[in-house]
Amino acid sequence: MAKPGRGSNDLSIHDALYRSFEWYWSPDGTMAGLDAYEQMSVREQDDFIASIEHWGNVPEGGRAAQSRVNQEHEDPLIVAIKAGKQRFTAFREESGPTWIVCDNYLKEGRKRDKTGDRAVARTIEKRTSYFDAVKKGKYYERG
Amino acid sequence: MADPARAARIKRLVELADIERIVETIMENDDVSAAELARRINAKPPQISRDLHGGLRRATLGRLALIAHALDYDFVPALVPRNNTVARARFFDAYRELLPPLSAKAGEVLRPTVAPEKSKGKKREKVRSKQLA
Repeated sequence: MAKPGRGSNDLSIHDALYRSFEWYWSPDGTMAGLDAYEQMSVREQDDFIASIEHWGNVPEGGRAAQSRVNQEHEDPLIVAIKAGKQRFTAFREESGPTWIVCDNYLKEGRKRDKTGDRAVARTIEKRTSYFDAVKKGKYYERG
Repeated sequence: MADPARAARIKRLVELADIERIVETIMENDDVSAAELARRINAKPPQISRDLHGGLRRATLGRLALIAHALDYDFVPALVPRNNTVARARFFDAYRELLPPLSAKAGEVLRPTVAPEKSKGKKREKVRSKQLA
């Protein structure tokens, strides 16, 4: 169940050398990614942090290790950050090095299943909503 | 990270991911496919695929040495003291100089997602890489 009342203090995940990471903040004030992260085991959480720390320190234009980050959708670019069998979908903020981490799903087989497809579709929708809200000054500027 | 044990674990995971990325980059720069690397170390291609998808984090020193040798590198396990900061910095600078450029292909963020069909796999991957470049 989504935890309501998330605030701007909950947004930031990690600032690395070349990339920063934030949770996606829904218009209703929830952060589905953070909810999922908090429900994971400590080992899975560490795995997730290791993935973003590794990728965040890969220079611009470089590739992250395949075991840590995977491209899930080409246009718009959506990636999955790996934490054991958990995958966290993310998109890139338009003008900067920040990646917005949206949703998560459990990848159990070799290939992405329908649950993963739906998570990617939701991420694309959230990306559109994010850019729209940022443009209108209604994303970060909440009371 | 407040918990030192967790911080150490995360650091170790990051270092292992870095090794994996270095191996992938060397293979890419030297145009060594997984199949070719498998042939060089007398292994099966799926084993190389497993290595590059997290398997290296469980690899023995011997396996890493074998892979390095097959890529025309030496695998040198090194214990670098933390207290000698100047010599330590020199050591890592020299090491970085020896590595291939790790961000060589501008614009290319990650490798393609969906596993390509067997027959057209390589061709499709090349097209996608061009699109990303």
